[in-house]
Amino acid sequence: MTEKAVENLSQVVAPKKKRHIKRQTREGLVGYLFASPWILGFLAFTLFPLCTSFYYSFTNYNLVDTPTFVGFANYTYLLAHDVFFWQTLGNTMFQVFFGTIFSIIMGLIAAVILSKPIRGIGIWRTIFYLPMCVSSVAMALVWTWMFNEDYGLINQFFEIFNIPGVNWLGDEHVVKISLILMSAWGSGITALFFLGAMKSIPNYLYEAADIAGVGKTRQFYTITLPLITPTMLFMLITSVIGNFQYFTMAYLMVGRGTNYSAYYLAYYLYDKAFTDNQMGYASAISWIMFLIVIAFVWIIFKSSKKWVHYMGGE
Amino acid sequence: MKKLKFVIALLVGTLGLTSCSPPLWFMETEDISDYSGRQQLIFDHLWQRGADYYNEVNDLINSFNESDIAKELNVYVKGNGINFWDYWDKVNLSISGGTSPDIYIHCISSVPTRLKNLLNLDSMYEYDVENGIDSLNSRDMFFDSQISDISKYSNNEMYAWPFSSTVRVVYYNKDLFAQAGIEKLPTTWDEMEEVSKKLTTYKTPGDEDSGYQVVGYDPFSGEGQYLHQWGWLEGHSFWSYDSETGEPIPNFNDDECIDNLGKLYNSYDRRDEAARERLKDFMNEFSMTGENVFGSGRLGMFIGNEGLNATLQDADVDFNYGVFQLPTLSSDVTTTNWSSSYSIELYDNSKRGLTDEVALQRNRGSWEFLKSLYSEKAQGIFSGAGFMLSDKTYYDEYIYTSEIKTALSKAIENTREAEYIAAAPNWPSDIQTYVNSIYSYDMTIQEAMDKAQTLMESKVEQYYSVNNILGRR
Repeated sequence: MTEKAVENLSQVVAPKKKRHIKRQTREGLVGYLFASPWILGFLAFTLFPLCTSFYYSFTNYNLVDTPTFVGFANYTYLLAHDVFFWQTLGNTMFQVFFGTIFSIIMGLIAAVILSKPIRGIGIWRTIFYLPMCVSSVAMALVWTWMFNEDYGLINQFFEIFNIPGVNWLGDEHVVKISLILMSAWGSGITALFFLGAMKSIPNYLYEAADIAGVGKTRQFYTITLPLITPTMLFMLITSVIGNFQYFTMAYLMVGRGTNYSAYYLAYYLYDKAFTDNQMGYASAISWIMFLIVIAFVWIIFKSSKKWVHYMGGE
Repeated sequence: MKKLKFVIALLVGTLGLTSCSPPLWFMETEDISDYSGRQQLIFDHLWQRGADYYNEVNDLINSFNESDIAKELNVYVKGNGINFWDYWDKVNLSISGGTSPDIYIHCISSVPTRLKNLLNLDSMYEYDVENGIDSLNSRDMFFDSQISDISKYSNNEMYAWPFSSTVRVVYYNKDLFAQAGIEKLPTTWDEMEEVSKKLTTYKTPGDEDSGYQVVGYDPFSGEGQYLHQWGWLEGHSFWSYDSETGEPIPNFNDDECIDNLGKLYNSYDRRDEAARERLKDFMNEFSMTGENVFGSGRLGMFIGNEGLNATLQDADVDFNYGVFQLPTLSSDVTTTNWSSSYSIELYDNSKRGLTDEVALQRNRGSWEFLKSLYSEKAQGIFSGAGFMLSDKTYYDEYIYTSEIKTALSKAIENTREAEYIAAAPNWPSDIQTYVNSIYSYDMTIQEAMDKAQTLMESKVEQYYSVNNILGRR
């Protein structure tokens, strides 16, 4: 091989090698570039507020003056003296417990119905999902009408059967239940998740059960239910978190409720931050709420080993 | 086929875009291209692009920018019109985030929360006087009540100017009054009830069970639902202050308060349960449709502010109406009217870390622009936009020409804003849920006020538990 040829070869090979490294880098950069909107959004709108709220929770901050460090004063008062914190936590726990159970049961029932080979199933599935496309403000207005004590659709329906009307939103003992009942409106998404899980269960399991003479109800409890538990775990966690953050519908429909009966923790946090201008105290509430949510999720995860069944192991 | 789809998509897209926003190309906009090199001042206001009076407000801004004083000070104002519902959050966040607008509209009741960053307008006036500059003296322009509301938290110095005056009066249906042969307007609660009875009629004359055709008066509908103004009417104060610590002490359930409210409540609570149900049904007819109950022409008297006048004018109601002052328990008590008015505030540019020279230049620019907002032309625009003017200077032109506005202006003389309580800045609405329980007969006045007292005590305790650590009182 002549010197010239070697030179030519090196010119050809060297750039190739260089180009190969560049391509890797470039691909990496392109990857980051695609992910950058999310990364920037996460840094600016999640991580940064998270860190600052942690700092603010140890300060007295009225949104105008510079935050002043007060140590654990916010947390101490919140946990030891604040009656409203415990009241709103109680209301929130009611929403978390019953709201979660109700939405999962409603979603499950809807999924079972939608999994049947009935005529026009596509339309039914769309109808079940449609409420998810409605804005929460519009939904709140519609439900406020439906729950109206005198002219509401629900009480008018009761009147047909001579059942006395209920003050759905005005009665402090009923309002929390009304808000939970209303959440059935949005169970379409839960139903779709369950439906997806049900459809992924292999048919041969049901065929084997049929051959063995196992009834449909028992098939549901022994095949369907156990095999959709991974989805149920997911729905349980998201629903618990969502219900801890319950705010919009209560705010729009009943304010704080008669005698503060629909005053939830997230609403209390909002009031402290933006009505009472106590951002430090509000931050402390948010961190306590965060810890409670973490504890709940941890318990659910721990317990999931006993009741979640993964097909073919974890 | 592809072409057809493309054309349809283009049409739908264009129509969608044009329907989403007003035709921007027809809008007059500020021309700020000629102002390069000048200091920019931001004016946050409530007239967003496309809203009524946007162009007029823009004209005011442009006029100022073209004025000699703006050129002399080397500043220009950039208007920032924000939708009413977004306005308050945006302004509050920009103030707390350190990027406050230079000039903005806010609420008089919350001036104390922003006091530290506001420009002292009295000192700006004094600067003008010392330097022989034409100026405006707030003491000559505004009602004493509004001056007091703003300056009582800052050693009688004005850190904001009133922009509008929102007060409560009783609107009455003149036609219904004439039909019932009522000539004298009521001034006490007892007289209100007497008049109310005369005005009330049933759908089937004489048959109560047929439901109300006309209701004389529901004391707790409209703006009447707010309890504190009823307390104030009789001279009750819901807050006192600890002489040593200065901490606020709530007085929501003391005997005087319960007694006064009881008298008001009982004076209209002589109807039986069936009557209460009829009233509820009557009010529900309107709450379901969203129709203004007074605008329906079926309510004799109704408590409202200047906004109701605008609503009735817009609706072009087919009856005559007038207004009179809120009645009191006895005729020898001076009315104290609840005011919830807007202010105009200037951010003190010396807080921005600028050089003294630039800060003064910007502050003077803001101050000159503020003065321009109280010109005859500007006040005419704001009056036309539905605001009850706070500046008395042009009342002959814009207020005394209207019977309603004249009556509203009389109420301003005896107004007061809700006390600013740092521990509970929103205390009137905080207690509203308990007040509603009185109206719905779920609680007695005593029970509701006991709960209101507990709530306020806990707010004060919580607030000072932290602030006392810092040695702040």
